[in-house]
Amino acid sequence: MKTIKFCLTRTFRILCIPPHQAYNSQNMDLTPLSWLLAFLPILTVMVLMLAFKWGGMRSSAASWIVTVIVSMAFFGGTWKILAWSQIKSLFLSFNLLYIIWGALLLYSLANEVGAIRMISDAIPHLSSDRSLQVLTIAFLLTSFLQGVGGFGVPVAVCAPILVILGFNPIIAVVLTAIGHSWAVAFGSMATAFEGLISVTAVPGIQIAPYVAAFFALSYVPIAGIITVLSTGWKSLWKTMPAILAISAVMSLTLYILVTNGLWSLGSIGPSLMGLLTMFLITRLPAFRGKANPGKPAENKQSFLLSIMPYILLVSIGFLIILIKPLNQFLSQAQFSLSYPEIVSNLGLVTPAQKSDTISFFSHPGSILMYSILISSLIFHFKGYFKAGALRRILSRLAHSAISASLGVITMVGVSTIMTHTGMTSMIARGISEAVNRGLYPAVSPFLGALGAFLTGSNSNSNILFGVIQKESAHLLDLSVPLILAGQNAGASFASVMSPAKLIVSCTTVGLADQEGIVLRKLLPLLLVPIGLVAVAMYIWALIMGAGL
Amino acid sequence: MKFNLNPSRKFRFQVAIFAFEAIITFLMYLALRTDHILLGKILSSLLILGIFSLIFLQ
Repeated sequence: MKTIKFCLTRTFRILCIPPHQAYNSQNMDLTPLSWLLAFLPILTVMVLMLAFKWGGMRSSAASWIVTVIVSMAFFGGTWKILAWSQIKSLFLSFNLLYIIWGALLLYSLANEVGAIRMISDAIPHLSSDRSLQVLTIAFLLTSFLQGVGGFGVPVAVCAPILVILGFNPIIAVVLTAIGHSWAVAFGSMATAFEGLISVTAVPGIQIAPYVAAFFALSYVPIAGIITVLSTGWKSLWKTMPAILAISAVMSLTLYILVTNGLWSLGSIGPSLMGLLTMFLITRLPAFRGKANPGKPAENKQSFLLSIMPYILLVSIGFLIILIKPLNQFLSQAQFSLSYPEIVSNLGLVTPAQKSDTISFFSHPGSILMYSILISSLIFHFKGYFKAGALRRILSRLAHSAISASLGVITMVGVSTIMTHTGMTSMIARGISEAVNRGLYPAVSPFLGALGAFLTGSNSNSNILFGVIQKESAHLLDLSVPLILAGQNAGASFASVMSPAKLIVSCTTVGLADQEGIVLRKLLPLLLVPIGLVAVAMYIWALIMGAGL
Repeated sequence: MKFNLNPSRKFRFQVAIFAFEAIITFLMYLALRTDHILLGKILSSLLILGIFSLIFLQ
């Protein structure tokens, strides 16, 4: 109680008196206590979600309040830092929310015309094998959509399909989240990977082979987890030849693409080849099973027209990625903010900077909007909309998007306040100084994972921790590309379980406020691929002569 | 302390907080750009109160 009173009094004083009188200007030393204080916001979210099963929005809000108190009481935070952090986080959130709102609107539109039901009815035609059906949706389709759309789209589209196929909504979110976790690093035009390259100035061509190897290692475990969770251990052995074949094709495609500099196709290419392999496998008698025609069609709507929003999303996404002149033309209208230099009361300087540039017309959110507008026109002229459709679509969108938006804004706010007061770098510094040279390669993916959990983004984790990882690798005489690859892979896997992303994922299957339960299931499962990368890095570093 | 609201009221409350946060942040931006220190501090306090209320929303 005394500590709370002390913190509140100090926070109040700092808010009410001029910065130069507020705090003795001293740099915060790295001690176990200061490290623990810096880690407190992350601990708050994890404890509230995992132990108390709080929803993502409430946990994020609690973490935000803890961050404000800790940063002001111990890390030289000021009201100016709080204000600028909030402005920056709102701008950063806009970048994400535009995609989230677009993805949710697309889903709401597709649901209104019965496309989700039609897709789930069509899946049994591909194969009667339930394991292969789930792998197609949760592993391959999600990864492909991550390559095209990014944030929120894969789970928003695929989890409801699994629910209609009869899966529990919690399992549906877990399956789809883990299924595309590898694809985040090279998804959305490889923005996360490009971010890592730009902050560290290490050529991507040096990092890419390691990342490809780590993801290739993760395909079999991820597909295995999906199969066991959905259909049990027995079917795993039956499905294993298919899993191995698909993983081998995807690994080879990924390696060829990213080692030739085509990292923007690093998610799309392997998942497309995986889908093609899956199609060929389902033509084999052993995997085709008995013909399962499904239910007879209840209406005369065209299947192809009904899934038009998704066809358009993929086509327009591809066109904008691959046709450079079109991309350049659409990227002309840009928007960014400039921020002044911000100094904390402990003397930590965040230099004046420009925000990320938002290219409005080539933004993934705009690609979603183009798909929505064109398909809405087609549905309108074809008479697919029933009375009151617009109201239903917008109502569904608003109900699912508001809670998600509040969660995202507060969680991004936590991350920006922590960055401006040096809390994030203290966490990273603590880890890199506490771990010895031999063990650091195994720890580096977990550091990337921590950044992604906190910020909800592989890109932000790379930007936050990329330089620290590079410096640590230099100091410890380790291979820099190897360590950066571990950072990127760890962040990719963990980003799907961040509170910000879980809120979005859960809203589409009616699991609002149950993100804590989903996280409890997802966390141990995602530790498998992250742990695997850690072990692989440890062995690799030993082979390369890092020694113990 | 918990705000036990029915789904409809909870939704309206969330919309109100969302709009409130967006407006406060915009006003803070203006206050910072025009060096209105006191206004900035008041707005920061309001922002803290707005986010604090979300913790109790059930």
